[in-house]
Amino acid sequence: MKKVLFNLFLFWASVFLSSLAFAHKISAFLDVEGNKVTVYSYFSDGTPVKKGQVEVYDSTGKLILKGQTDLNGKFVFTVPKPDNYKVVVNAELGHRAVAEVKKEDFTGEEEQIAEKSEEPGKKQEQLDVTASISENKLRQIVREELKRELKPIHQELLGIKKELSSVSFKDVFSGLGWILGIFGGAALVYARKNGK
Amino acid sequence: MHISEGVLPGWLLASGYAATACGVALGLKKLDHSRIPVAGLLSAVFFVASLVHVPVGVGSVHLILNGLAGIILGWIVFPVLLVGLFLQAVLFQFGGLTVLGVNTFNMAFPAVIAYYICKPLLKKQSKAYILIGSFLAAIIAIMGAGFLVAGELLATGESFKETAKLIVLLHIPVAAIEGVINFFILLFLKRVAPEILEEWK
Repeated sequence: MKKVLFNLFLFWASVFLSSLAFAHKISAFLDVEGNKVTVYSYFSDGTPVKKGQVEVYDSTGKLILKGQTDLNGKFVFTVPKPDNYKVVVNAELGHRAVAEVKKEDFTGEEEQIAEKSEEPGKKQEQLDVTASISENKLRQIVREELKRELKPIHQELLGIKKELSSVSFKDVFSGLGWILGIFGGAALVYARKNGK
Repeated sequence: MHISEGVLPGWLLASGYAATACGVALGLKKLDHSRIPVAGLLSAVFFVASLVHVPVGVGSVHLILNGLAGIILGWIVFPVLLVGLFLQAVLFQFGGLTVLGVNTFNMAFPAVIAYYICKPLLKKQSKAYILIGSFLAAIIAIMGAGFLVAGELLATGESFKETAKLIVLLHIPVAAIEGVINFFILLFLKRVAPEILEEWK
């Protein structure tokens, strides 16, 4: 009997270890740039969710827009104003993922219209040899530079989030341990019952 | 074929739990000391099976092996799958806890049906019967679960025909693979430890 169980276990260990792809819930990740939000949705083995239905809700729970992920699991939308938004992705067969983006994540991209109104008054000072950059222009430059620098870090964060949501060997082994424990416990209980 | 959290309405979740509770109670009654090792092993097998995925068309589906568990365990498949699904929900966020009742029923009930239909076939000596029984169990258990899922997704407004068609199509390769797996394992068990394949009283 023991030999049978051991062989079955070996068979299973080899089957499962040989397939390192883990299936099967979906996750959604959000990337924010200005007022544009990009949704990435994947199954937990990395396959993108193609043609998944996307619903975006604002902080009052109102549905503000709907869409569909493309063949790469991507969907892009723009928001009317910074707010706490909830994004729900529905893949077929009852798979569902929810992701949230906070108001603070939206970097304000103010238009540089203010610059024009300053021109008349500052004409005198602009004849100075030292070319002075207006404050708004400076902010814009800093923002663009920061965006460029932060983009790879952003991508890395998304990658880490994706990894965290997938299944690890650790989880599998702990699960098997629990099963052993639960059925071992049951065996104990039943043995006592039989003893009496 | 795990349904995720937040997809089904509350009344359906509650009914799922009620139905699963009945199945589990029946299963525990049939469980006895000598069958615990097999039950534990099949629970582990089921737990790990969902990690073996089969890429199919647009996405991917995974092995279930409820057919194998059902044909060996009968009603005991209810508590066995409950444990497996619970751990999958807690450790992999696969499925969910509110929808645990529904998912367990979806996968265990067709497995029990497979038991009643296919078990008699296992008593025969000819390998052909075991082959038929293996594939039949896989098909009944997997497609049965699929139809239950399609029926439940009706409550969310999905069309039953479309969903059922999709599930059946996506799981044909899974049923084929599981048929083969069942055949080899049942053949092996019949040769080495036929008492496991005896009918439960």
